[in-house]
Amino acid sequence: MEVTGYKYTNEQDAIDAREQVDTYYGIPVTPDDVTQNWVDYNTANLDNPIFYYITFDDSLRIVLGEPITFEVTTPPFE
Amino acid sequence: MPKTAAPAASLLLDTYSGAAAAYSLRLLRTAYSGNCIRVRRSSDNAEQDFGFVANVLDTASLLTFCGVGNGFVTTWYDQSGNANNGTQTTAANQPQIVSSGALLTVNSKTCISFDGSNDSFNLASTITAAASNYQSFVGKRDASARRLYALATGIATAGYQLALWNTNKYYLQAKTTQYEVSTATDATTAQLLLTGLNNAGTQSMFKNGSTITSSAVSLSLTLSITAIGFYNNASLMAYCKLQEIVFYNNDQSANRTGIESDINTFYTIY
Repeated sequence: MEVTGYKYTNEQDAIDAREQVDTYYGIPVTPDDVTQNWVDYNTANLDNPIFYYITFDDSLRIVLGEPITFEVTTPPFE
Repeated sequence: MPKTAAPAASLLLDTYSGAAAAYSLRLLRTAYSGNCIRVRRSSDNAEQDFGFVANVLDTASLLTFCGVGNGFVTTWYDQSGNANNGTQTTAANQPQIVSSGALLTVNSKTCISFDGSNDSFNLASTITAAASNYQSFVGKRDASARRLYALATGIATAGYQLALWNTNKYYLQAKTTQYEVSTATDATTAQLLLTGLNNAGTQSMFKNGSTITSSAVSLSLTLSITAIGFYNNASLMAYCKLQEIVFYNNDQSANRTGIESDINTFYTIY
């Protein structure tokens, strides 16, 4: 599957990117909120080596910059 | 926003009690005193709970809260009494209910919209499907070849799902070694009431009260239900609108027509 977004080779970089976005958007607004992150990262665990990625959304461009396009291996339904 | 005075009429789960999980935008059980949904508004990301007025979601308060902006559901509360709420802690993954100050609706009733990209809810606790189980849900996809489903597993090694898949075939995975798949395709984009039941190994699917002709296919799966709108992988997200989900972890085949009739009376689907 082709994904447009942000690709990271180690998980900590993905976590750091997530925190950058949270800081920019002020999430969470209060500690009791359900919403704890603006965006989350996915793990491409069927790829070798495994990598981590955040799917592009327009709100991310101002924080994470221009996205790239890459392939993620996905399982069949059946 | 607490629930306000509910009329005495019997509700779905009053008549057909014992649901393991139940999510709706109408009140399903007279004794349920909790909220319907929790919403994050786009203007400042503030959140608020919303209950029921006259047995349906308090949409007036919801629209006031959202103003001219958007509203996204952070929590879809479980009305079964088991507190197995569906929550989404990531803003980008929260399904939408208000768009530019207007309710999202299907057939004139409020719906929750899943974007097919990353929207889903995680259940507070995993439901391990019993040998006999039952699900009905009301939903719609706006184009064929999209994924219409509600409860599902969220991990790669498990499989519970009742779906109209992007292959335009219906699937029911409700037994540890098999799933049902419809023999015909269906490109419908209409609002649907789908029911899947497994009565100790006999699986059946129903669309708007009528049997979906299907066949069983062997597949080795462990059954657990962990999410709404998320099946197995981020590439297989629900792309549909949902209004109601009821799941029983026991045999309800004798009550199927009654449950479906109650749902259809409210939603006027068929």
